[in-house]
Amino acid sequence: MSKIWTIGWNMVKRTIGSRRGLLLHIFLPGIVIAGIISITGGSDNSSSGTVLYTNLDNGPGGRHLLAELKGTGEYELAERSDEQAVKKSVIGQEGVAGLLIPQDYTAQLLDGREPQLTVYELKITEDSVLLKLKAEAIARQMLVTAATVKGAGSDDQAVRFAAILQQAEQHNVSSIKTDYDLYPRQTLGVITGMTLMFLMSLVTSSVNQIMDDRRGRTMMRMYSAPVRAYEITLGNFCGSFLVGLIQIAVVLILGKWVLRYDYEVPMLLYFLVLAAFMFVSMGIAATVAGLIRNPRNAGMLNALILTPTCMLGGCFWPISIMPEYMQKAANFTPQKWAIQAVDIAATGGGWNELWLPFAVLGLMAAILLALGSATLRPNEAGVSA
Amino acid sequence: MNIWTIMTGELRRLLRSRTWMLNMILLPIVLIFLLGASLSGVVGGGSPETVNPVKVAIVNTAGQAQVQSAMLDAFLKSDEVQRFIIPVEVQNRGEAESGLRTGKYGYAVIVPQEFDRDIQSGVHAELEFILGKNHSDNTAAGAVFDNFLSEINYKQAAALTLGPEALAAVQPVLTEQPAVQLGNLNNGGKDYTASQFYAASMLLMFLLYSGLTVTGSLFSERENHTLFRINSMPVKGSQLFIGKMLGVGLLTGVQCAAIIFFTDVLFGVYWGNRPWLLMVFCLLMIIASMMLSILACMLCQTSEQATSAVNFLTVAMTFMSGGMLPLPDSWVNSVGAFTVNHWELQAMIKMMLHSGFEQLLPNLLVMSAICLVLISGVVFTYRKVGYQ
Repeated sequence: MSKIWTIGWNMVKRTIGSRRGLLLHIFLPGIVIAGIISITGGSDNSSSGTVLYTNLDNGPGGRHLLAELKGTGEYELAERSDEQAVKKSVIGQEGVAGLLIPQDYTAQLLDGREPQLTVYELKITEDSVLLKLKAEAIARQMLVTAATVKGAGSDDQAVRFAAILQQAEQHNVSSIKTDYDLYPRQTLGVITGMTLMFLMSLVTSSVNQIMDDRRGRTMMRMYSAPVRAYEITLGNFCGSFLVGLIQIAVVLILGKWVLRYDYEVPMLLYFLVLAAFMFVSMGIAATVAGLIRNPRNAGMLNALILTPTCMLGGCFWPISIMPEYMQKAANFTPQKWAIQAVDIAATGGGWNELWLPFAVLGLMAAILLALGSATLRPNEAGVSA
Repeated sequence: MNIWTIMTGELRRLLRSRTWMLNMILLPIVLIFLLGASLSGVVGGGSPETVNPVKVAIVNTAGQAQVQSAMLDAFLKSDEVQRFIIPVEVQNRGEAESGLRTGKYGYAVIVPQEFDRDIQSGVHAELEFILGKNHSDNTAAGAVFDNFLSEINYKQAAALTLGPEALAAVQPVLTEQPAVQLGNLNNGGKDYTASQFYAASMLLMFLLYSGLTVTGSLFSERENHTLFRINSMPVKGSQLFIGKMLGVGLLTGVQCAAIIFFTDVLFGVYWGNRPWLLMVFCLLMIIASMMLSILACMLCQTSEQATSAVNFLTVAMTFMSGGMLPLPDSWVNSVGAFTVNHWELQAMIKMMLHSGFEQLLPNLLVMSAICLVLISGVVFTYRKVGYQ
């Protein structure tokens, strides 16, 4: 046992013992993740998306549409002079989407025609999709209203139309939304995803040290001491796991107590989820490292696994928006289960629900670590290329 | 001559490595495929069969059946609504709330007493919605009920202004086309799809990642002690350095071309109407990425540190330019402007959208300036530190 501990402790010292190592492996990732947390987490509730618009209509219809959009409180409206200017600003990523109200929009509505609004988007985001739906709903109601005014058959249609819209802006029939904060915050998934991604890449670097040992023939020298292969393997795993735990702790402490991001999850549970994920990614890294003999290539191949699994596992966007078959494939990634565990915990689920993701993570870790230690074969010094 | 020999040697070494080929050409294509496939549901607007109806708890505070809201009842019974909503009658508010907490219901609507009468008499009327545990359920159910209320709101406004008899005369409006169309950002040429944005940002990320090849190449020579042997040959240090960089640069160029070609052929990603200018921008990006990693190599002691630094730079710059996740727009144009990716991404998108050359010029100038600064930085540090 003490031998395992010695090897593990040596691993920790080598990775983060020096000032440079401490900076590179602990503080830098901590600061990066904390930065991401504060950017994405900060944008959560306060800032609203900017909508760039140009209103070529001079009737009440266009005005009403803009007033209603503004009234939702979800958008900030910024005017541009004409269609070209809107397009240019959208391409320049100055806002989430662009909106064009065509010329004579109101007149066409009252004429019984169906004028179309135009929405411009550079990339699909939730904001731009919602804007489209909202504008569509308001436009449809205006169409119905215009038909009603026409049906009433009075002479001063434009004035009456304007009066109805003005009355509608009062929102005499409305709703109040009671929000008990039951749903996990939208950014929590992304933040967890990003943290997972960084953790996974950090683990890679500590497993690379095992490879370095083998390449530098240090492993051979270790055998001249009375240690067994399994002790070396276990010691190395313990060491990199310890480093990982320190990394997780630093990231969480920075996020929770320095940047004051509210994780909505008990910290201990969050820590446990990340630690379980850490085990799995150690297994993945070890397996890959065992299969690839050249340590430099092992690092690259890890990247080959890291980014696709992160995408598939829902680190960058919610899994629910992906097509069915992709969601099934996502079940094979550890990220999906870790995020699910955090999700369950954030909505207040207990261990009766939490056991499943933890069990899956544990199983994955067991299989991969077994595979990893079988293929890592510390007693072989094999280096090729 | 020496440069040539070293360059071909470097090329041969890299091409022989299967992992390198896998990583640098297959991976980006896999990633762009994943992006395209995962986000295709969003692009298509969500096909109807994937919609899961939300269970909504309806609480009638009035209690007796006769004072219930007939309007809401009729609305909930319509086919169109039943595709999205499964209404469940619940006795009281407490039951609805506990159901929301356990996830039995996705959303709850509280109907006040005499909701219908209030609407008809033109006084203020409101429903109370309670949000549930699932964000997308909240959005979906919220949209359905908001539509319901806004329809009543306009009808009431019409009734108040025109008199109640006006509503009787209303014919249902049949529309032939959606009231909102998705605008074409293009100035002619093919349609722009949002997946093009991610294709471009992924390409840039991989060009930055190719800097890892540089660190690998520079450090392997040193760590395998082959650098000593080369130094014993009649080869100048600068020749060796330039040869290596040429080799890596050439392969990165091939990689970039392969990504563009395969994404075009396999996934129909359209890369714009100016292939030459696209090449120039890719070249500038390759130069920038290589110079950055050379700097990282010279300033770091071990290959591991250099690799971490390059990794960190790549991820940070891609993230800050908004290429990974949608960021607040204020960020993209302030902090994002300090990244290489920002200028490149904008230029690529402008090319995809057939913007005029004068709009591309600022990006070209900024990129050239960045490359010049980086090159002079590399030359300066090479003089100081060298490659030994």
